Amino acid sequence: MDRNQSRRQVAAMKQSLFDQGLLDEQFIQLEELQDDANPNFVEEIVTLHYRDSSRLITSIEQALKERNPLDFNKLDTLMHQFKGSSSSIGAKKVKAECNLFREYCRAGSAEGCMRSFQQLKREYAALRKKLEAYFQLARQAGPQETACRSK
Amino acid sequence: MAKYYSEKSPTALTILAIDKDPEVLELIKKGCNKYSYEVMTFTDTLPAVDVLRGNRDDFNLILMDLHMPGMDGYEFLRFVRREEFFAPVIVMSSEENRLSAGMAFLLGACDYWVKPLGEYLFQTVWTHVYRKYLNEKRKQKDNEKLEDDNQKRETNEDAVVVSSVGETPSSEDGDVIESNKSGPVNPQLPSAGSSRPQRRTKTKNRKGK
Repeated sequence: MDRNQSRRQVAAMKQSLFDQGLLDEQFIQLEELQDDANPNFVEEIVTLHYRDSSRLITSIEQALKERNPLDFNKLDTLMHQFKGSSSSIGAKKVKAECNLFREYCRAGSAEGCMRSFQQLKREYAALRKKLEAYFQLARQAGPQETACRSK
Repeated sequence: MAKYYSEKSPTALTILAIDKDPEVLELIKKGCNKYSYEVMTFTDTLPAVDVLRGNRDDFNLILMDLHMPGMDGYEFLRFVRREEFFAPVIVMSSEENRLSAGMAFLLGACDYWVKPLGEYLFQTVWTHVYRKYLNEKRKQKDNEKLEDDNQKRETNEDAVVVSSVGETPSSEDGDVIESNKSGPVNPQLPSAGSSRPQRRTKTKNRKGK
């Protein structure tokens, strides 16, 4: 495929993620930190995020199972960490869901927390899939960077 | 290379500290005074950058708040790496965030401190300078050894070429032999400026590592 065409596709895909409100400014900040010394920085950070956050999701799921009553403090703390991690990669919609969840925690609404968490997981999974597709395309379009992937 | 480390006084440090919170800087000054380190503090990044650029060899350790306005800790790390300052950079954050730490380490930070800082951190902060110095020294030795080995190999090859050709080598052969001597053969050798610390430590004020 023509190299320029590939790059245009990558740019279009990225723009679409912004247009859909899935990513915010923070993602751009990550891109600006990428350079020759760190040619795969954005992908590395996003990978780290998904490793980190999937652990948190499991913990939150566990905590939501421990009813009678729900430990809202614990849930809020876990969600705070999850939100921090999501913010770091610019996951705009996911971050909004985190805020909602935390509001339900503060209101002590178990029902609200459960519903919000389900929605959060959907947004989280949707973005993850799209980012995976994006990085795959970006790697194929492979501009200036070398193809060396870090472990 | 040894400019940022003094074998005569291995624990004598001159520290550059950048944090928007004057209270944090006060704590840093206290810690430094206790262990007789010199310290220069800044509440803004850009003036610190100017001082660093103008006094490259004066600082052997940098403490940097990750979330500075303007040029933040991450951009600062990139600046340090690009302009090849030898001083190791320790980043500080008021939140313990695994991803922030990951980003900082990937950009070259040698440690990640969570505020509020403990005074005990300053007791062993010189070890970061020492560790980097030892790693650089070893790399330098390895590079020198590799060059020596290459030289020896090429000398042997010269001998083989001469003996196999029989007569004096033609100018083409001579050119080929000459060009091999231009530099290290192994392109994988990392340059001094882009070193990453071998060991990562996360230091919290509750437990040490």
